[in-house]
This record gives sequence, C-alpha cells and structure tokens, in this order.
Amino acid sequence: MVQHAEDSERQSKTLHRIFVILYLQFAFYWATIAAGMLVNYYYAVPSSLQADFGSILLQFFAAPSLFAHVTFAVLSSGMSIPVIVLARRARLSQVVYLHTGAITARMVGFVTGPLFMYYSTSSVANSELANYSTFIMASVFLTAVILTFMSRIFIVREDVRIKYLVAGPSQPGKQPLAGLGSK
Amino acid sequence: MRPASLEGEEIGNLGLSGLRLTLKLCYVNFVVYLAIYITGMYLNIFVTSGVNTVSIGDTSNIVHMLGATLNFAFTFIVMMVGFIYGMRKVALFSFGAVVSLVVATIGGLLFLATGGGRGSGSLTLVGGWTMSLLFMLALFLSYYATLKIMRAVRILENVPTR
Repeated sequence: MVQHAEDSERQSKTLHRIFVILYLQFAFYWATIAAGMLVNYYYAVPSSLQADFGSILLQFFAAPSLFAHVTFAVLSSGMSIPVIVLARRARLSQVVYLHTGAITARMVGFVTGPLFMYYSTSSVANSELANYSTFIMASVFLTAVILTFMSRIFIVREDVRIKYLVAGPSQPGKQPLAGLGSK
Repeated sequence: MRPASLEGEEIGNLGLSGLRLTLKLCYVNFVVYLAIYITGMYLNIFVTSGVNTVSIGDTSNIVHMLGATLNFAFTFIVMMVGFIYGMRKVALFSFGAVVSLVVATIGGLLFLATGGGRGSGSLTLVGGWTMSLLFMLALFLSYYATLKIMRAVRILENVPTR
C-alpha cells in the first residue's frame, strides 16, 4: 500500500514536470508565431541572396526577425524531447507518439522554410513553389501544435486517474495526492 | 471507489451528459479554428502576397469570415455554459477567447478597410497583427477551457460524487 502511494506520488511529480514543460512549449509556440508574423509582414528575401545552402543558412542570422523565428521554432520543437523522456518514464505511450509526431512535423517545416528562401532567390524566382513551401511550413506547424495539444488530453486523463482512482477511498486525516491540483 | 478529495476541482452542476455535449461542441470549435487558420494562411500566402489585395466580397474572405462567426458563436456558448453552470475557469478562459475574437475581428475589418494588402500601409499591418495574434490567443484560451471541461468529464466518469 505504501509502495503504491509512493509510485503514485512519483507519477504525479513526473506529470507535474511535463505540465511545466508544456507551458514553456506553448509560450515558445506563441513566440514563433509572433516572430513569424514579423517575418511575414516585414522581411523580404534580398535580391543578393545566392541559391545555395550556405548562403541561405547565413541568411537566418542576417535579419533579427528571421533569427528570432528560427530560434523559437527550434526551442518549441526541442521542448518535445524532455516531454518524450518524461512520458516514457510515466509510461504514457500516446504522449510519446504524439510528441514524436510533432517533432517529425516540425522537421518538415525546417526543410520547407529554407526551401521558401531558395525559391525566392533571384536566380530561381519561382513564386508559386515559394508560396507552396510557406503553406506547407505553416500547415506542419499547425499539425505540431495540434499534436502537442492532444498530448495534454492524455496527461490530464492520467492525472485524474492517479488522483481519484489510484488514491482509493478517502481516509480521515489523509490528504489527496500531492502535486497538481487542477490542471 | 470514492475520491480522495474533489477540492480544487471544477465539476460544475451541468451533469455528465451536458458536459459531454459541451466537450463535443469544443471539439467542433477546434475544427472551425483549424478551418479559419487554413483559410487565413491561404489568404495570406496566395491572395495577399506581393502587392495583391483582398476585399470583403472575395469568396475566400467570405469563407474565412463565416468560420470566424461560427467560432465566435461556439466559444460564446461554452462561455455561457461556464457562467451558468458554475465552472468559473471555463467561463473566464472562454470569455477571454470571446473578447480576443471580437478584437481580432475588428483588426481584420481594419485590414480590409485600409487596403487589404501587405503593401497597403502601416495601419493595415496593425490590423493584420491584431487579427493574427489575438486569433492565436483565442485558440489557446479555448484550448484551456476545453481541457477544464474534459477534466470534469473524466472525474465524473470515474468518481461517483453522490
């Protein structure tokens, strides 16, 4: 019984850590969107940009808005890694799959983003493919957001399970499981 | 099996079937959010790119605005459910989403009224900024309201409270 309570306590703490990381991830998502809008409205691919990998990579450091957008995109994607580690520890396989899916979606975005720049260079100048690249980038970003949103559903379910089912009948003087409260 | 404690939880007094129905409405609302996001991206990337503009009567814009109207209606219903049936956090999150959607709509109308294109001037961009940022804020707030309802459903499903 004591062992069982300790397991639940540990699980509750792991879930609490996942919640904190998810809050951070959502903040980075929002920052990515805000910086993305800055890029969208105020950044134009310079006509001097060469259509090669090195030049496009260096371009990410040339404009502050672009740098911020990419940095926040990397940070928000990176937040899925600790979530996956913790979810594995908490044996939440759905959360692991959803965040793996989110990272995969973001990887597609990390390809189509530079592709947009490639198609926008003066030597290639294919606005249609540039538009499609942007559209795919934004779509996979949304996919990643939806997947991480969904992951929280399973975390809340687990939280309710350990708080109200594993805890068992209430005993006089006994406190509910520590940790989360209402998430 | 009885709960350890329901302290700090917002179950409300709507009942399980009512909460399930509200949760379904929230899911439908997310589909509408998705439709608005996609039509918004389409307008942004394929319609208003470069010097092109969009006007209020364009088909893609009408679809976008219809989606926004549905979005407002669904979020408003969830907000009222929260207020009437004693779910304070659901009500407050949804209220924030409703206010965000209203201001975002004003931003969108400003975008259309001042030119409807990226090159139409700074006021148009302010409209665009307002619309986009507040839309995302509304999405996040609605999401948290949905989580609260989902949590209440899960608790009521697993814990007999009477």
